[in-house]
Amino acid sequence: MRSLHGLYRGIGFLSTLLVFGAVAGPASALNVRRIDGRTEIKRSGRTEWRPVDDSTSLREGDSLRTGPKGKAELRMSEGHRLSVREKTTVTVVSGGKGLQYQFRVISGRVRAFVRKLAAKSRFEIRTPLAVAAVRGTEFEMEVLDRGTSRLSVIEGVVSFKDLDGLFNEVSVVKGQCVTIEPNQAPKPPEPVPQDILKEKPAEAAVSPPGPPKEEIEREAGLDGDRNFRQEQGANNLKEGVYQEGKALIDAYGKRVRLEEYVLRPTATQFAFVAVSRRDHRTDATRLDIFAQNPLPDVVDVKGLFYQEGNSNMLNWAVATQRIATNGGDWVKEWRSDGTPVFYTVTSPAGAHEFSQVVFAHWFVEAKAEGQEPVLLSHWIPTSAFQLGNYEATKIRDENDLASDGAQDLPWGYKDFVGVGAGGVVGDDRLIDGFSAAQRTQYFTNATINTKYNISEGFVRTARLFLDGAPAPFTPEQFQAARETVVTLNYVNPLAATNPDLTQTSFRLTDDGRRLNQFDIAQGNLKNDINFQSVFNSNLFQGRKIDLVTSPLTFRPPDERRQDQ
Amino acid sequence: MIRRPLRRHFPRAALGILLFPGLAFGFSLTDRPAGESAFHWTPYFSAELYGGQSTFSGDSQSPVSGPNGSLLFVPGFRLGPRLTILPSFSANYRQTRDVQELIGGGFLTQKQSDQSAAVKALWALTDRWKFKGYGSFKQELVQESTDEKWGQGLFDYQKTAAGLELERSGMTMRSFRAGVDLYWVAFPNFDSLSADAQQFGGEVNAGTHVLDYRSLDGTLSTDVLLSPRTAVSATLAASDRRFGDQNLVQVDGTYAGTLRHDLFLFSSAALRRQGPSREFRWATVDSVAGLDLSAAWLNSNQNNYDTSRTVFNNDYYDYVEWTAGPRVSLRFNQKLSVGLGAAWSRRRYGRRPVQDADGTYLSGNVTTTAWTYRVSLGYPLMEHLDAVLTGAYQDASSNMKYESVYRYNYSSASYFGGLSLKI
Repeated sequence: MRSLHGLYRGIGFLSTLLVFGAVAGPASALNVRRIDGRTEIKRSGRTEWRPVDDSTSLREGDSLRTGPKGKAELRMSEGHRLSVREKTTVTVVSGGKGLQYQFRVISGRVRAFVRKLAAKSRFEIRTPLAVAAVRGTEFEMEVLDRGTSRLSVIEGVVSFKDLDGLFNEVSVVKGQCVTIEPNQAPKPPEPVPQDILKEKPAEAAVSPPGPPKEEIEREAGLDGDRNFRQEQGANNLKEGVYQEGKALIDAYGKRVRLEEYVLRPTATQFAFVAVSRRDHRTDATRLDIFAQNPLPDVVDVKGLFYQEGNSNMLNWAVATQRIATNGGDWVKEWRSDGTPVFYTVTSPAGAHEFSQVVFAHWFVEAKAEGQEPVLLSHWIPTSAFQLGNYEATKIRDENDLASDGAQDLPWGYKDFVGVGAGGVVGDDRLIDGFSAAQRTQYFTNATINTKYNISEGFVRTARLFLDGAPAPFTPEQFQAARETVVTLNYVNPLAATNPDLTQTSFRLTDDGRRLNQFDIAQGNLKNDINFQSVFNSNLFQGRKIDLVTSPLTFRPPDERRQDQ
Repeated sequence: MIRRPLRRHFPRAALGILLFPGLAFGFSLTDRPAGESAFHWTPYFSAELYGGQSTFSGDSQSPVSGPNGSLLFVPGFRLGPRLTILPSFSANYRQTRDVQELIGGGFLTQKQSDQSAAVKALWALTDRWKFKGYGSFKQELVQESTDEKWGQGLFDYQKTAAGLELERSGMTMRSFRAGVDLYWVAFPNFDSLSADAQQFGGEVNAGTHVLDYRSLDGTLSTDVLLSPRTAVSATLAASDRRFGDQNLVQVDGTYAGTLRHDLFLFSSAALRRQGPSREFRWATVDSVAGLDLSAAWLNSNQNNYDTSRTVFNNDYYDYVEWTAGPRVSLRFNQKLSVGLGAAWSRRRYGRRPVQDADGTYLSGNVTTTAWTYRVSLGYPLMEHLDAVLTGAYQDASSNMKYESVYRYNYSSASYFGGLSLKI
């Protein structure tokens, strides 16, 4: 599961846990930025000096010193800045607690840029002899020999007095420079020395003339958070597509897209539509189920083909039609005249009673793009099946495979024989006289139905291949094989064009692994996601129909019943 | 069928995204004192380059390794005393994903890149009030399978956005922001197959550009200093998302002419407290502890129809999600940084029924839970350049047992090492 709101952003996450100086919060209340030269810090109560880096923060009692050509800047979260010039030592007396900032300049020179202070807040620079207090201004304080302190006010007003309080406080205004020497009253104001005035303002002196990088970085961070939030919506949509199985990857690492829909063309009709796209091709299939009576909104599909118990089926499928196409060629299977047949199967465990719909006709035909359709097969269940001898006629795939390696499909129709006296599979009755227009009326045209009823299908065989080798197999080979392909061949030995159709079917797991026959026999079909059917025919001139569908939707209804 | 090349989506309204920066620049010309230079600029550049490996339990392609990298360049311009313009350009490339991106699809073979350009204007109304506006465009390209080429990824998407924000700065409430964003998300390569099918599907009426949507967001955010060492950041956001071409599925599985409409609410809070610096014989240790909380709620009018089982699921996408997680960061001797974090996340779908391993629907709704653990190490190699190593582990579980198409129960891990440059 992907959290909608990850606590850690996925992009640029390398340092998301390393929050020093990077998060909005108190961690950056008094940060040091080294500008140039050597700059060191001495923690409160410690004696050793250590180099600082951009992420160093100061607390009360800490001291900072710069060497020759050294330059650093203290940045306060309220926007105040203290530029520390070369060969200067500063101690933090109060580092912002209660919005009080107090620095002691032991030696050297600092320039302060102080934003307008809020009520109860205070900003002071102390020297060994004097103290300067401000309420929003820019000034420079220099400590000379014997603690002599010189204050130069660049902007605003600064209160200035000796530290011992022996003399009156003076207010120094913009452009004035006042010096306090040991044991003397503040000297009369003088103009700020030109060398100080010529220097860039404190903020500019230590920052590029453009917007400060902190501001850029902060805005970039806010933008990143907003974008992350916005794009989670897109990621959620993608997640939803995966959860619904509409985007898959096949055994060859290629993208497969699958969409399945339901249609309700009429009150008694229910249709599945599946469209798959892979290898830049689109294939589609549609299964229509025609019910005896009107269908409710929520359709129990299996209930249209099978019902447990001995009660009569109230609604059932009278016909089905499945068509598969690549957009040009298609293969169509349809069944008609379905009626429920009641069965009782007796075993040592007791009697099993159920009803199953039996279709009187099963047709298969293929059509190449631009050509007329060709009927390949027409099967009719034996009278034994129709009369209810269920166990006598059905096929158990696993048993049949063991004997001849062939798998007769569909399940439940084994011994198809021709209608009429002496009819056998593949007998010599011709199928003719069907136009394309007539083929569209299979379910309504009584004449055509009658015509089909007296015609016969051709040879339909199913063969099983394990890892490319045909049956028969040993049980060990059967279980060990990882690739199982079942082919259905329809061959008309009588037609001049000798049309054929091969359907290759295999199942894929969600990670593209092909399930083997053992998996299928064990019932693991329930967990595969792809049911892939590839149709090849000499009618298609090298083209194929390659369908990928979900495991349940387009399996024959009786297989659906098994798994459901 | 030949897939169309990536289309460029520039919604007409997005042409106005540069309006505010343009107007602001015009005002700046009148606001600037005579003789002052036109503008000053500050370049900001950050880059990350790293390699790593990801594992995903039960995935045949796991583990996956590869390089990742990101670039961000922001030339900040100050156009006078009140106006700042921040154009930005960013690019990312990822071949190995973080644990939170290893979504249940579990497809680890993925290359992803994105490029974005934006321009943002900041107008200082007063010392406390600031007005901001931005316009941006982002394109994300994804290769998730071997046959997807750059620009043809199924989930490539583009986002065009514009927004306004008002910010107040203060002493205790260091920042309060109120903003509105309008953006369009388009998946140019993702069209409904049914709309594209030549013989079947055209009658389905699901829509064509089913993932594309437009969102109108409103956001309130604040950063408050609770004490000199404690701060909290909070966000409250609402998104109104309208899908222009995704029709609603109905109880019988067919599609109606009504369009999908989502409402998404989100809130979060992050608490940070800086601990005292502790001196040990072997090191000085600084620390920051934090707690992150968030809650999200999605309400969608879209439903779901399981065609395989012909089951209709009403309000399938609605969910509520909570996350919570502590984190702590330590720094030794102002050099070595260590970050530790854990996060718990739970999403509960309001009306998405649980399925067993066979897909059979059961009573109760889907709940997913994820635990994520992280550790990061950082060390400055030189000025502006840090070495970073990070690792993460995630364990996801759910009462949803049907995992044929999507994994709900899994574990994943990832680790990365690389360099981080900030200039």
